[in-house]
Order: sequence, then structure tokens, then C-alpha cells
Amino acid sequence: MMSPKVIIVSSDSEKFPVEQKIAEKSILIKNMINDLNPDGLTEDFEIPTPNVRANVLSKVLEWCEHHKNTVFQDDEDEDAKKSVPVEEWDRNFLKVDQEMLYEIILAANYLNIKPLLDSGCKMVAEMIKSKSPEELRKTFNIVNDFSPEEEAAIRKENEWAEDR
Amino acid sequence: MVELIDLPSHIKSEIIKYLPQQSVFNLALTNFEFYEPCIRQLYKTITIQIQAPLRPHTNLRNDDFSDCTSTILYGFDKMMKKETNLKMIFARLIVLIQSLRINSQLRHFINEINVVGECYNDNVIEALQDLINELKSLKKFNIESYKIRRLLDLKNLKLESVVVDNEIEYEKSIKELIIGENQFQEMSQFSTQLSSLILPNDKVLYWDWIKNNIFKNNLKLPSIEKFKFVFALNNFENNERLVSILNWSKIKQLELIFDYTSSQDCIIDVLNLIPTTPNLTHLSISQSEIYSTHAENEIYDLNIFNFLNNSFPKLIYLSISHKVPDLGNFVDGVEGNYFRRLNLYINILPTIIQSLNNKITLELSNLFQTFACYEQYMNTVLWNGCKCSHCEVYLGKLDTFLMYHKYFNNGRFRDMNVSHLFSEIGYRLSKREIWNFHKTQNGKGFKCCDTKVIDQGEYDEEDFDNKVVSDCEFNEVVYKGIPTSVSHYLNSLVIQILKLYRGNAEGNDVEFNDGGDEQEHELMIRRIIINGIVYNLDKELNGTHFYENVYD
Repeated sequence: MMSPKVIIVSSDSEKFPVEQKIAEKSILIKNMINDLNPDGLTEDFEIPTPNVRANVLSKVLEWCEHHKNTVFQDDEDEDAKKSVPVEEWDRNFLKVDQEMLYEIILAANYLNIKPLLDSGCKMVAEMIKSKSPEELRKTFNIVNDFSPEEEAAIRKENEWAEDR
Repeated sequence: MVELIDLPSHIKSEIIKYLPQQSVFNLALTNFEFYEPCIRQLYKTITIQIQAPLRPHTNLRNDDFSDCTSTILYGFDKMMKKETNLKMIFARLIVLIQSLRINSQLRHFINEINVVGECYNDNVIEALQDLINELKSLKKFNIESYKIRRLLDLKNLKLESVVVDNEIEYEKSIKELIIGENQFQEMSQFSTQLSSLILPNDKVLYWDWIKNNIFKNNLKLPSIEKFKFVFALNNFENNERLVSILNWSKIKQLELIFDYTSSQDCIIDVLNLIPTTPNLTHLSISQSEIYSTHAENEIYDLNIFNFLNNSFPKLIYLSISHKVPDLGNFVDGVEGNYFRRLNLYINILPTIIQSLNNKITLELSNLFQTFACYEQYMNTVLWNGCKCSHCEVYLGKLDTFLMYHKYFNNGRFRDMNVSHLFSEIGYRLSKREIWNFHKTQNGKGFKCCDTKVIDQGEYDEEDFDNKVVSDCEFNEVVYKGIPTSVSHYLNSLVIQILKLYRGNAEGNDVEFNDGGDEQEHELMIRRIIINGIVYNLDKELNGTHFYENVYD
């Protein structure tokens, strides 16, 4: 007999049937399955994700599929996270346009998939790195809401930490 | 369309955590939405040091984020005289203090301040004291040097982490205790809540303190997560007793230190004392005294590796270091079997690590010095080593250096060999110092000669009248090329660890998959640090393992 599947439904009502093991990369889904089926899954189980679009969800599930056998530390401390670069596979996987990247991050956040969230945040951080304030505003469509005086004050306030 | 600025604030903070300080600074200037989380990050952990931090190249294919852990207050980016740097540090401190006074919110963002090094002048010390007085609620203020600690008054702070020199009054908040010059400390009232206790490395001081303050009062330390264990190899009962005081299932970070013993069985015995540590994440093993022969070191390594075969389900960091003699002089110097030792590190250790659950960071902080002690093999590295254009020049220079310099041993200056030179270079590398080629660890220095040593007559002949050489061509500038050459040698070691013999016709192709089944082999080492040279390991998309030398 086929083992029961978890069917994840995107905001635009597309259905994604996946193995339980893959779906449980999401702690949110894992807890839902456990709470509602304390004796384990006996039949297919549908879970709606009302704020994740189908193309984002399929991307996220691709990640879960790839990492289905990866063991992640659940309580890694911050320093440990910082000492590791983004894995090559993740890096390649996350080479998408800005909007897609943010949506993946939001989905990982909502579904509670910490390692994917971390990789996503690190990728964004790399995009921010070594850009001047002006370049940052341009790349990320950030509107400057400081007056020149305020900007100068902030510069002064923190100049002790500037590389020079 | 979702923009960066629209992400929820906790995700923004998460991203900012992975930024180096200059980027945090730049991002803070773009928009008010970013200002607050950036400032929080910028002020969270501040480290004060004289030298500018080393920053990795920006164009690596696989960068890590370790330069984002703390905001560093330092002098100038470029190499400058110490006085110039100190002036700059003073100026930066004054700005910091002013900012804290103007924007009082900032002081609540500061969690931790570290002061590294001890060569600060009075101005800087005074500014530090002002800074301390501004920060009444700071929980962590670490000062590395005793000299500086004595000059500063931290009484006003409600610290959770304390370095004690003199006995301190009981404070409710204390969770971490670092023992400096202290001998007696009443701690019965907080011993049960203590999560970290760091004692001196020195065995005598360590055990005096333990006996005076813990054994005598029959204290238990049930909450300790971070601990340093200096083994008393000559007093087995003490080890036993100390082991029984700790709650080993709680321990997360552990440092083991061994002094010299002629009977290696002791090491096996004390290692057997250690119960299982299901939560251990960081493990560091080092020697506090020199194991004076190659043979003893080899057995020592075997014993340590044996211990590593125990199960450490959560381990993510492993560091192994050795105490090596000055200038790499071993009694049985020529006898040491480099290949046997090399095998230990490039085959056996990685095999052990493969059996762990997590990908780990491996730090071998002075492996190069350890290898440098094998004189014969080091000759090969120098004279038949890397053939790239860079090494051609710099290894050549080292060769010339050997010809014109002598080292001091047993009362007089003698001809140098490669081990002497490489050990010293290894030492400087692990300290990340720039070396001038003449000062040495033992203080005796390398002496310049105006004639080639081989032209000075018989080996070690005395009384050859050397004119004093005032301007030797070997200085900091020449040294700059050396680390790269060393790293080229270490590259070959890392390649062997990875079993990566790509495009090298002479290498034996070793199948990494041992079973031959389809399951891909997962490399369990994420990162290797050898003498301050960092390698990140990962797989390319086609499954080939690759390595990257972060500071090449």
C-alpha cells in the first residue's frame, strides 16, 4: 500500500502531494500533522498555506526534497551559524530574482523551515555587502527618508565603527 | 511586489546579523526602517583592539559570515605605527562615548564589550573608564589582560560574566566566572547557577583553586555548560572527584588540557573517566607541556583520536593543538616519521569525523609547526615544494635566509635548518602576526651573517668573526609573501584530506565511496583552520568536493 501523502495547497489552490518526511522539513506542518493525527497518518492529509503562491511553494518543496536526508542542528547558536558559508547547492538554488528570494524567505519563515530561512537571509546579506548607501538605495528601491542633517548626525553618531 | 524594506522586522534583523560592520553602517544610512535594527546590531557586541581585523576577500565563491560577530573598534585599516593607531582608538572611543550620551537609547543595545591586547596608553585607559561609567547595566565586559584589568574599575556594572582577580562580593547576577589572578573566592551562594567556569591553564594554579574553593566546601556545579578541564595526570583521584562534581549531560563546550606524562596510559585512564556528553558542541584538546619526542607525540595523537571515537552527537567544532618545542627541535628530530604522522591527520582523523552526525569545523591551530619539526620532510617542502611563480621567488628567499642566518642554541649561534625557520613561521602564522624574520619566540633571535654560513668553515665552528649586519634584506616586506607559500603547502594537505586528486596524474585515484552503492558520500568537515589559514569545504553541484583558501 502507498503510504499516505501530505497535500499542501497553495494560496492559488494548487495541490502539491509530497511524502510526509519531506513535508515535515516544515516545523509548522510537522506540528500540525502531529497535533491532528496523534496516531500517525492513515490517509492523505491536506494543509492549506494561504499566503504562499504555487510557484514559491514548488520552489520551497524542491528545497525540502533535496534536503530530505540532511540532519540539521535544531538549536545552533548564532556564532555557529555565522561560521558557515551558504552551501553551494543552496546558493545555486537561491539564484533567483529579488522578489522570488523574498517570497521564499517569507514562506520559509511562515512554514518554519529554519535552515532555508538562514540561507535566504545570508544570500540577501551578501547582496547588501560592499555597497555604499547610495548603491543600496538603488539596488533595493529604498527611499531616503532622512534629511541631509539627519543623515550627517547618524554618520557622526556611528563613525567610531567605520572602516577606514 | 515585495521589497527588502517590506520584510517583517525580525527577518530584517536576521539579515543584518550577517552583515559586516561597514555594511551595517551603510544600510543604517539608507532609511529609518533600517536605522534601528542596524544600530542594534552595531552596538550589540563591541571589541576594542589595536590592529585592524583581517577581512576576507569579497569575491570568494563561498564566503562565511564570521566577521559579523562583533563590531570592532580599532585604529587604522592600513598598517600604521602603534602611536597613530592609539590616537585613532582614543578618538573613536570619545565619539562612542559622546554618541551614548546624546542618544541614551544606544546604551541599552550594548550587550558585551571586549578589550583585547594590553598595549594601551593612559588616554585610552581613561576613555575606557569613562565608557564603563556610562554603561551601568552592561552584563559582559571582558578585558583580556590583567595589567589593564587592574587599571579599570568595573564595580558599577552589574555583570553576569566576571573575571576575578581579587575576591568579589556575591552578586545575584553572576553566571560566568573567569578566574584571573584570584586565589580564594566565596562562591557557595552562586555555584549552582554558574554556567561557565574558566580557570587558568597552569596545572598548579588550576588545582590549587579547585581544592581551595570547590573541594574544600564540597560544592557541586550542576549548571555548568562551559568548562575547562586541566588533567592532573599525577593525581588520579582529583580527576575522578572533579568529574563527579559536574553534570556532564549539560556540558556544551569543553576544553581538555594535558600536561606531559611519560606513561601514556594515564591519558587513556583520564579520558575514560569522562562520561558521555550528549550535548557537547565544542571540544578543544591541547597540550600544556611539550611532549619532547616524535614517538610520544604520535602515541598521544593516537590516544586522542581514540577518545574522539566516542559518540558526540552534537559536536560542531573540534580543535586539536600541540605544544611544540622552540624552533621545532626534537630530541629524535631526524627519526620522526612524517608520513606516519601525516597519515594520522589526513586519513584517520577525517575518518573519525565522518562518523559524526554533523558537519564540523576543524581547527588545527598549530599543525604546521607540528609538521615543521620533521626536518627531512621540510627540506623537501622548501627545495622541492610548490613550483608556482610566487613560491619560486619566496621559497628561494627563505633558502637565502637560511644561508645567512644562525640560531641560538646551547650557548652559541649555530647553523639553521628548515625546521627552525618553518616552526617560527608557523608560530607567527597562528598568531597572525607579521614577522620581521629576526625576533624569535625564545627571545634569542636569528643572527645575521655577512658571509654565507657554508663559507664559514666547518659545521658549527666557533669564533668566525662576523661583522654586524645592520640592514638585513629580510624584513616585514619579504614576510608578506611567505604565508601564501606556506598555504600552498597546506593546500596539498587539504587536497589529500578531501581525496581530491583532480587533474593530477601522479596522484592515486582513490574511490571515495567505499561501498560502491549509489548513496553519495557526505563530507562531514565544513571548515578547516590550519595555523590561521581557513579552508571552507563544500561540494560543487556536480558532486566534486572543493576547498577554498579564504585568505590566499
